[in-house]
Parts: sequence; structure tokens; C-alpha cells
Amino acid sequence: MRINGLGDDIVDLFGMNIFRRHDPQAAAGDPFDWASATITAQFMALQVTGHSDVFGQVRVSNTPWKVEGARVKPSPRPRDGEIQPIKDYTTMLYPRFEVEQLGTTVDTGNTVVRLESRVAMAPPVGDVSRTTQSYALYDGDGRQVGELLAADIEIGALLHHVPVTSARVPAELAELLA
Amino acid sequence: MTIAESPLSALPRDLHSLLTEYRQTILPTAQAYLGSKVSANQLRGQWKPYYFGSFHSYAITVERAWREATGTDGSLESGAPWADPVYEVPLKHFPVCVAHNNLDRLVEVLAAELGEQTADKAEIQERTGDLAQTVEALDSLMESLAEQPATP
Repeated sequence: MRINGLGDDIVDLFGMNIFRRHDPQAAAGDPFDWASATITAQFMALQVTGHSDVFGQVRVSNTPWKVEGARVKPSPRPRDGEIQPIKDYTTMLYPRFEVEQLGTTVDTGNTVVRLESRVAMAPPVGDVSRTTQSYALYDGDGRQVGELLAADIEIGALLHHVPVTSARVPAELAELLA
Repeated sequence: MTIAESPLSALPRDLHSLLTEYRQTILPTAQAYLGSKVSANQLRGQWKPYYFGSFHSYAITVERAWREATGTDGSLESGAPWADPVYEVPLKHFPVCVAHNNLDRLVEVLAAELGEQTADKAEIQERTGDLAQTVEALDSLMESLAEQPATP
């Protein structure tokens, strides 16, 4: 991350993410299996914290009032008899950065941050999703104050799992994840 | 793995073959990349045939071993699996697949950032460090599993 007037630093952040995974779906006519399924999830809360010698304490959270989520999309159909164990996983969120030395919270404005990876299971414990581009960071007045150079998210462990009877995809989220 | 052979029993041998190719192809290329002797695109060029070839075959064996151990047919089931010793062998190999998938994404982002440039030109040095650690850790993990027998 780069903050104008403060500098660049790599910040290791640790914490928790709570998300609601929706019922897997398969397209009409497709078998309902790992290869054909679309699996989506909605972010409920992201809270990670770390320390930087340049920025001080940094706390990152998501933006619940914006449409954020994750998606595992259908794999290319395997040839008969084959199994497709690997699928593409995309996370889309609007991170907010509370930067101690800056004394305020910055974010990426209206630009959603995309992190991608390949997964062989859900939830993807051990997965590391990464960005491929940088994102401008803005203060509360819309002024650019820095840049998110790169972000990597590692899912360390599944802490708790609560089955829900049914979790359907909100329409706005479905549009984002399509 | 022959058609008649159980995927559970084939896993250690398949992994040994994968490890052999990994050490012959990926390790030297990764070391050359980390020493800025080859570009990110060249690293990707060596990685992709291995990932979509030998590793994909191994990943299918892991998947088949899971299905053999659990009796599932690949259909999606709700809830977490029960704790059961029958899962032990395929679950031991899941981290190999996770690490390969993570490496694939890492190689992709390195190529996206650098293209024909070498590691010393990387702005995000953290990811260069990730590559060094992951390549070495994956080698150790595969070596430990390749020596273990298939049955618990």
C-alpha cells in the first residue's frame, strides 16, 4: 500500500471473515456436481488488523452497504469419465483501510477490488487469492491519497460453520457475480 | 495409474512421479527466476504444461481417491463431512492440490506484473518471497507424502 506523504509498506493483517454461502446452483439441464455448479457467497463482515512501521496500526474492513461477494464458477465440462477438480474463484469487495498515521479511513471509492484464485473445494481453506492490478485509494472527500498496490488474502482456517436452511442470492449480488 | 488400480493405492506412486518432474522442471526454473536469470513469462511457460499436465492427472487421482474412500459420486452434498478415518489418505493429499493451485495463481500474477522482465524488476517483492517459500515448502510436503504408504 502507498499513502501520499507517508510512503510504501507491506502490511500483514490478521483477523476474521464471516460470509454466508448460498445454495450451489447448476444451469438448467446440467448435472448438479462440482464441475457444473456455481457457488456464491455474500460477505457479512471482514475485520483484519496489522501494524506497519510506516502507517501505524492498519485495520481493514469490508463495506456492508455495498454489494460484495465471492463466486466459484462452473468448470469447463470434462470429457466423459474425467473429473474437473479445479475451479476459478473470484472475490469482489470494497475494502476500507483505517490508517493510524493518516488519521482517517480510505477506500477504493466505487471501484470493486477483485481477487482471484483456483480452488478444489468449498470453503477453500488454505486458498490464497491475489489481485492483478493496483487500485487508487480515496479519502472521505473523494481525493486520491494513495494506492493499493496489491492485496493477497489467505484463508487460514474454518473457525465455525453454521448450516442455514436456505440462503438465496440477493438480486444485486447475483448481478455482480454473473 | 492403471484403470483397474485403486486410486487410493496409486496416490503415493503418482505423487512420487509428480515430485520427480517437479524437481526436474519447476524447481530449477523457479530458482532461475528468483536469481533473475529467466523472466516471469518464462517461469509461466514452464509452469503451465506441468500444472495442466502432470499435476492435473494427480489432482484427478486425489479426487477419485476421495470418492473411493467416501462412496460419493461427485454430487454436491450439504454440510461438512463426518470425521472418519476413511478420509485420512485423500485428505493428506489435499494440501498438495491447494499448494499447486495457489502457485498457479502466484505465477499468473507475477507474469501479469512483469511479463518479460525478471524478478529484480518486481515492485511487489513480497510475492517474490512467497514464491521462494512456497516452492520449497511444496517440495518438502510432497517428499513427506511420497514416502508414506497408502493405507493408514
